[in-house]
Parts: sequence; C-alpha cells; structure tokens
Amino acid sequence: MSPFRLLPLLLCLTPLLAVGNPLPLTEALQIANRIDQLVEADLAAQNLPPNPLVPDDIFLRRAYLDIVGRIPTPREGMSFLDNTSPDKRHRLVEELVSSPGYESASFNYFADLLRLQTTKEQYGLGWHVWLRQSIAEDKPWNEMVYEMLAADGHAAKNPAVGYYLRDRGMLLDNVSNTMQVFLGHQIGCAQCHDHPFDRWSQMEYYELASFSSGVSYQSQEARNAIRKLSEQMRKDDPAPTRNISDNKNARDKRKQAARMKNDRARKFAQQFRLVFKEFNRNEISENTGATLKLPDDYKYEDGEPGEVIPSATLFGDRLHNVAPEDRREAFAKWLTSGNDYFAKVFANRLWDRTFGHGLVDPVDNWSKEAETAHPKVLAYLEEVMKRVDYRTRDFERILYHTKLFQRAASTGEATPGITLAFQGPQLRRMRAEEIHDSLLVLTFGNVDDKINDGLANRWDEYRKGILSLLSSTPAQLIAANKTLAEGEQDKLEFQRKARDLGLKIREAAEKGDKDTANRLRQQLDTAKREHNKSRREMAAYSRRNVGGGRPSPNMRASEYPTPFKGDHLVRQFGGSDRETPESSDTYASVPQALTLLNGRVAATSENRNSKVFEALAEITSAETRLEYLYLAFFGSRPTPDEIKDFLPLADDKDDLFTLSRAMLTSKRFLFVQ
Amino acid sequence: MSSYNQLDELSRRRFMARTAQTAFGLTIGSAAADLFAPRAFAADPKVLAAGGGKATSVIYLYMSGGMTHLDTFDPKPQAGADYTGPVKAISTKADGIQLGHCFEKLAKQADKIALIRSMTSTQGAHAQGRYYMRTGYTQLSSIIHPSAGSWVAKLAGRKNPTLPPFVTVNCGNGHPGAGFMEPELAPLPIGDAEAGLQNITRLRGTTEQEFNRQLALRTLLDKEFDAKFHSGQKSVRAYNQVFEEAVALMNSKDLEAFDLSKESPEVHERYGSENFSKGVLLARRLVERGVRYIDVEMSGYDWHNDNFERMEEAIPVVDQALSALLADLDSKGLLDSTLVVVATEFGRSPKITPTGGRNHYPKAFSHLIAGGGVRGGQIYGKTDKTGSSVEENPVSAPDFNATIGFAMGLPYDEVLLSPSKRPFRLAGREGQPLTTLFG
Repeated sequence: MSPFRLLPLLLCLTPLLAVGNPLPLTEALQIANRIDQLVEADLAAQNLPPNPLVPDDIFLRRAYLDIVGRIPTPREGMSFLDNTSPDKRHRLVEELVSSPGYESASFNYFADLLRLQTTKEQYGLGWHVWLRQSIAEDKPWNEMVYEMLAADGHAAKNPAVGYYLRDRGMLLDNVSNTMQVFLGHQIGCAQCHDHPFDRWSQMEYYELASFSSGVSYQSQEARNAIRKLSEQMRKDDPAPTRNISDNKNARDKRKQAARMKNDRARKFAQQFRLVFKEFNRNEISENTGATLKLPDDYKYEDGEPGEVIPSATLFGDRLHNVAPEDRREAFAKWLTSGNDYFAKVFANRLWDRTFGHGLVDPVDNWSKEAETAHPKVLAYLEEVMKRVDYRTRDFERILYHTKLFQRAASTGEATPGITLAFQGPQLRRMRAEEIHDSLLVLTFGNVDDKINDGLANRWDEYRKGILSLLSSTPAQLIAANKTLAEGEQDKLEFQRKARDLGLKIREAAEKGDKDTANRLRQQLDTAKREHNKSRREMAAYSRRNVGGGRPSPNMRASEYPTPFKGDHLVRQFGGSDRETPESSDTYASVPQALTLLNGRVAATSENRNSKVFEALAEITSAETRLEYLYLAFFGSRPTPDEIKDFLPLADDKDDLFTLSRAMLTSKRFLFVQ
Repeated sequence: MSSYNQLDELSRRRFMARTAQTAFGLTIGSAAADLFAPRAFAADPKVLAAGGGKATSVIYLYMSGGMTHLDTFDPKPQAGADYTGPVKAISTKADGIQLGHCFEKLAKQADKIALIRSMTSTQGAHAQGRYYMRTGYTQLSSIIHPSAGSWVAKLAGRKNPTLPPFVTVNCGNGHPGAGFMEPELAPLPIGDAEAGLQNITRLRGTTEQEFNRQLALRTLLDKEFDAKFHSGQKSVRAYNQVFEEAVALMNSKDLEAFDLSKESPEVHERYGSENFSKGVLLARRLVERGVRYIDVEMSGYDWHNDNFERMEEAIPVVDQALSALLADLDSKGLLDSTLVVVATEFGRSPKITPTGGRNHYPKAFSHLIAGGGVRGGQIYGKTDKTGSSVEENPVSAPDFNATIGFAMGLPYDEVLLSPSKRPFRLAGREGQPLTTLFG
C-alpha cells in the first residue's frame, strides 16, 4: 500500500499541520514519490523507458535556474558538487525553495501571467507591490485570485483592483482573459459570435460577462469626498437670499431653488475637480444599477439585440439571478471554488513551468483535456493542490523533489499542444530574465538579497498622500486645486511654445539656415527642461508619476518596474511585453546573437573586474582557472577531454577572455538541460 | 520529391553559402554566390499579363490594436454624429476618394493608393486578430503558422545575400515569425529603428583573429551538446542559425542600411520624429538594399475611450510617415517594385460609446494598399451607410496575403507541408488575390 493512502488518517491525528504551514518534508517526499510512480506506470504501459537520472552538474544548474531563476556561482556550484551526502539533491531543493531567489523567479512568472504593468497610472505600482508581497507571504493562489476578482474601491486601499483597472473599458476582454488564465477556457471567440469548434455560445459569454457588468471605472470615494466638502462649504457660505420673483407659482419657485442649489453644488465640485482627477483612474466601484446588454448586431434566435442579460455560469455550480450587489463576489467565489477546473488548471500550469510542457497542453486551453497521456497524474495533482491549500511554493517544491525533475531532458522536442508522455523534462532556452540575472551572477555574484525597496516605498508614499487628501480641509483642497490649475495652464502654454518653435526650426532647416535652427533647438531644450521641472513639482499635488523606484544595476530583473522597454536586453531575449497573458518567449534572433558576440554584457573587456575575472586573477594554477571558468558559466567541472582542449588557453589572460566570450555564446550556457 | 523538400534543398544551399563565408572568413565572390543562391522564381505569365509580379519588396505597416476605419479610410459623413463624432471627411486628389481629416497629407497623394473598404475578420481579440492577419490562418494550439513575411522570404528567396530577407521593426511579442518553417526564415527584429542594429561591430580591443577564435571555440564547447540535441531540437538549430546570420551581417557591406544617421535632417523631418516614423524610414532604406519584406508596427490603437483625442495624436504620425514614404519611393523610381500596405487586426465599432471610444469590430474595416503594380486612386469593396457591415466584395486575411503574393508574382497557392505533414499556403485555406487592383 502506498504511504500516501494512509495520509488522510495521519493528517487527522496531527493537529500541528495547521493551514498555512509548509508541508513537512517527509510528506512532500511521499507525494513526489507517488507522482513518480504514476508517471512511470503510464510510461511502462506505453513501453517507454524513463530518461536516466542526470549527473550532479546538470542537476545543479537545472535546480538553480528552475527554482531561483539564475545560474549558480562557482562557490555555490562547488559546495554542491563536493558534498558527498546521499540526499544532497533534496537538501538543495529545500534550500533554494525557501531562498529569496525563489520569490524573484516566481514574481516574473506571475507578472507575465497577469499582464502586470507597473507604470500604468498609479494603481500599477500598487498592484506590483501587492503581487510581490503576496508571493513573499505565500498567499495561496485561490486567495490571490479571489482578492483580485472581488476587488473594489481605490487602489490605495485595495491594490488588488489593479486586475480590473488593467483592462479599463475592456470588460469583455478582461472576462476572456480571466477564463483563459484561471480556468483554461478559451471563450474569446464567443465575444462576437458562437464559438466555431467549442461549445460556447455568444449568449453564454454574455451571461458570464454579466457578473462583472457593474464594474464602474469611476471613483465613489472621490464623489463622496466632493459631496461632503460641497455640503460643508454650503454651510460655511450660505446662499445669498436672492429674491425669487413673486409672480411665479410655488412649483416654479421650487424648481428655481433646486436649480440654484445644483448650480452651486456644481460650482463647488468644480473647485476640487483637478485634485480628484486621478481618482477615476485608480478606482473601481460597483454600480448595482448597471446591466449588460446584447450587442446591436446580435444575430441568434435566443435573444434580441439590446436585451439585458442576467448573469449565469457556464459550468460547475450553476449560479443565476444573483443580486446585483453580490455579483462580483459570487463570481470570484465560483471561479475559485465553484467549478472543477480552478485547481487542476493551476496545477497543470506549474507542471508546465517545471517540466516544460503541460500534462494538458496548451495550459490555457482545456478543450482536449481527455487526450492527456497521464490522466491519473493530473487527477492526483489536483488532489495535491488542495492538500497544500493552493500554496504555490509548496506545490512546486513537491515537483522539484520528484525523480522526474532529476531525469535527463528529452533529446527530441515536444510539439506544443500535443500530449506528451513524460520521460524527462523538456530542454529549454533560459528565459529572458534568467539570462539577465545569470549575467548579473557573472558580474556581481549572488545578488538575490538585493531588493528594490524603492517601489514599495513610493507606493506607501502615494497611499499616504491619497489618504491624507481624503481627510484634508476644504481650504487645503482649494489651494491644491489652484496650484494644479496653474500647472495645467503652464502645460498648455508650453505646448503652444513647443509647436511654434518646432515650426520655426523646420522652416530654418528647409532654408538651410543651420545657425538659426540650432539656436531655436536650444531654446526648445531649455523650455522643455523648465517645463519638466515644474511638472515634477506639480506631481506632488496631483499624485501622478509615481511609477519610478529605479533599481540599481546589480539588481535582478524582478526588481524593475515592468514591462521592460522594447530595447532592453530582457525584451530582446523574449521577455514579456505584458500585453497578453504569458507573452514571453524564448525564440532565437540575430540581435540576441550580436549582443552575446559583441555586447558589453557580463565579463567584457570593459568590465574585466567582474566577479569572475577578479577571482581568476587570484588563482595561480592554470588548471584551477579553467575549472573556475567552467563552474562560473556551466556549473560544471571540465572533463578530461575538455581539459586537454582548453587548458592551453588558461595560461594567458587574453586567451581566457576569448574563452569566456565563447562560453557566453555557447548553447551550453543558453540552454537548460 | 515534394515541393517542401525542394525548398529545403534550397535552404541547405544557402546555408552552405553562409557557412563557407563564416568558416573561411571571406565573402565569396558573385560567381560562387550565384551558385549557392536560390533559383529565381519565374512568375506565371498569366499573373504578369494581369499586372501582378511587379513588386520585389513589401513594406507592411501594421496598426496594432485595431485601427478605427470610420475615422480614417472609410469616413461616413452622412451617418450622423453618433457615428462620426467630430471627424470630417476630406476630399482628395483622387476623384471619389474621401479620407478622415487627419490624413491631410495622404489626401494629396490619393492617386497613388487603393483603399480596401471591405476587410472582414472573425477574430475580435487582439492577439488572435493579429495572428490571423499576419498568417492568414486562425490561431491553433498545435502549430505556429508562418507570417506572410516568412512565406515571401521562402518563396522569393534573398535578393541581397548578406542582409536577412525579412525584418520586423518595433513588432511586439507574439509575432508569429517563421512559425513552423526553418529558423533561417525568421525575421530579424529591430526594436528601435533609430538605434538600428546594436552590437554589430566587434568589442573594442577584440581583434579579428581573436573573434574568429572565439567562434571556433564556441563550436568546440558545444560539441557534446550538439551531438545530443541538434537533430531533435529546432530551438537548438535556431541558435546555430542566428549566430551564422549575425556573423554574416557583421561582414555585410550593406550594413549602413540600418544606420538612419546617413539620412539628412531634412529627410528625418519629412518622415517625422516618432518611433514609427523612423521605422518607416528604415523600411525604405532596407528596400533600397534588397530586403524583401519589412513589417513595421505602430502600437496603441486600442481606443476604447477618448477615441477622437487619441486619433488626433496618432493618425497625423501615420499620415506624415506614409506620405513621405510614397513620395520618396515615387521619386526614386521604386514605387512600382515596392508594395506598401497599411493593415490592422480589426476596425472599431461604428457607434461611439458613452466614454467617447470605440470597441473592437472585426466585421468590417479597411486596409490600404499602394505601389507594386497596384493602380492608384481606386476603392475596393464597400460598407453600408454606417460602416457596420460589408456590402460588396468582402476581403479576408487570406485574400489579402494572396494579393501580396500576386503582386510579387509568387506561387501564393502552392502547398508546403509542415514538419507534421500538414498542408499550408501563403494564401491560407482559400484566399484569392484581388487581381482587379492591378494593371
């Protein structure tokens, strides 16, 4: 009998295992073992041998790259390779999974999945900080998703609203992505017409989208504050008791009085317009009166264009006729616990992240679920996901403890979307962030503990600013509003001036009058500088431009605002643009080759004082120098043949440099075996 | 022998040509280069007679996010304010062609352009829509289809032996690239046109000899790795390919094609100062040096809110760059051999939303096509009075790609097999070229 079958019983008897604690190692190992048994039984049934276990050096490099997202330093490499304890692989997994590097790598994964954009308005930064903290505190996936889908209010109070604000005005897209990312259902086609080869109809799509139809991208908070302030001001500044002409009847008088009152309210509200302008960009509220209607071109018989569609779920627990104020919470609850997909879709995603291919593939389209080569593994993983209470770290830790994780990569490639029997993990190129971070390791050593606090600090500053704004006196707010109004005026003037100068520069250039053109260009530059200075000052009032938190050069990719700009190394190697879920890729391109061949990246001639070259300079024996270089780039020691080939190069520092550049461009460096 | 294998044979010979260059560190003479070069394709005489086959290069300008058709290429001045908003339709140099008022400069060259006002698609989401437009196939999970640029590179071969046949400029992630085709047909991506090709010269202090040794050492270091993975893994072969290509490019005498500083300030000002403007200028330089297909993307068209404010910012950028390009190609005598298109994944909903925006609208939208033998000053297809549905001559993404193939005289309906032996064509499943645009 498998030890795991006893577990439910054991669990009842162990009160120490409260929710939220990591799984005891023995149980993690038992579960890993069970996964291996199930995988191997499937392989045996198909007459496929599992791949052999990899030697220590391959395991070392894979474990570092997969778990903490970077190559090991030579010291880390040696300490593992020279360790003689029989369970050292499991120990390494335990060590890495609980290190800060794991959180860095996880963040990159989730930011890509959720399309996180740090610098999009202010909520982006808040959402970024929220995601980072959620990972650090091992917040279970179901809680994270629930928080995002049920989120409401201003980002300063609940930064998880970023998930909705990310898709402002694109509610239907947001619904498609939600279904695809969290439940593995591609219903996007049904946004415009019945799905051609899946079962979803346009009507069902609208029923589902209807759950979020109350999302209003307007600030209730600001409206309340403005109303409160206006009332206050009306009291402080009573309306002039103007004579309402006597020859009108009572009804007209009432109307006129109401009109005057409205005008005054508008006038007061106007005074705070600029101060609260950004609120509408950073808050969602629930409009209980809002409904979703079928589009004007609806063409099926089950509904009329313009018809109001009540919310209903497509599968799992059937929800319908949910009260408007409960719609989104009900949907969030249904998505995370009211259907059969949430747990297994996430488990399969993490499987894919670890082994390079989904048990169901692609991971975001489950229409061919039945074709998986490992149905029992899939079912078991779902059970395990629930057992670990959706804690990503614990779940992945189990996968890293499997024998499958220790097996050689398959030499042939898996076809995306086609089911695979797992003889071993898939060979893969390093992810873009892994390349960035590995180059850092070569230059600076282990920098996993260099965290960019700037992001969290700036967010905190913004949050405090918003909260204090809400408790400011009317007089303070009016003053702030005035400053902002002047700023707007400055901006318009600057734009006019810039346009004028631009035209004149062009005229001068066309006439060939270079001197005048240059003089005008200087004027334009000065104007720009001044304008930027006043904009920065203004930012303090408007709470804009909080995107920053610039990381220092020795920080990992996860410490940067996201996404990277198009010309950054991370993007060049396929890092996500954060436009569609999981948009990162690992395709080869010529510019990548040029960067590695000629770029000033890690250990270049300009930078021979990088960690690697510093160390090499201190090593006296050629053989040790060669070994050190091998450990630095490949996490491995050279074989006797390689020593024969390359030892002659280890005598001369220029030769060593040439060899290190060659290593940087090698596939052995770029790929994870 | 299947056509797929034949083409593979050509790829192999080109590969040898470059390997020879790389290995011997020399640029082989023209006689030897011809020996390795693909056979020139001979266009079908019927295509030539119908006015096709004139284009040797394509500049594909892609408006990413879904460009509003009502406010640009298909204005509907009679539809009412709920549909038109503040947009005015302006008359142009071509009789009967009206454009949205932001295309002021293009209006003066409308005699060079054809508008396709009957584009229609079934793909209402961005990623899927772009994919469909660029490949002519709907996105599947089990295969990546090649984009039209890779089809052209494959079917037409290289015109310049040292420059890649297919270049993308500022194209975001998710470009299908060469799809299932071999890595050598993948585009060379340029992120920032103004910065051009980075790291194209050896590191300071590295001699040519050291550089060549570095290349040789790389091969040696990967000996074991290649023995294990080279034959089974396309991603591994792709990395061999891009390094060879990179070295060939470093030695190319046409490298300055990527250097926009070679253009005068006056030219820069005519094209404009935005990323996209620079991309269009780069495309023109690449066409002059024989690059087959340049895909330049301008992003940010997803105007769910404030459609008209954003239009005033974005469209003049396209107007200026496109107008400068058409005028330049014309004055250099390249307009007839260069097909210029403006494409997008879908249009925008004709009725303006309460937030002043327009939503996704794949049912009807517009493309522009010019040069490369296309007769200017014409309109193809028609939408109804509010731009909501296609009334005449619907055109699909496969039709559009077939038209590109037709303009270049390529066998757009020739079937190539994917490695999994599934049949695919440049013209998609059933695309037909719009032959009446030509001649």
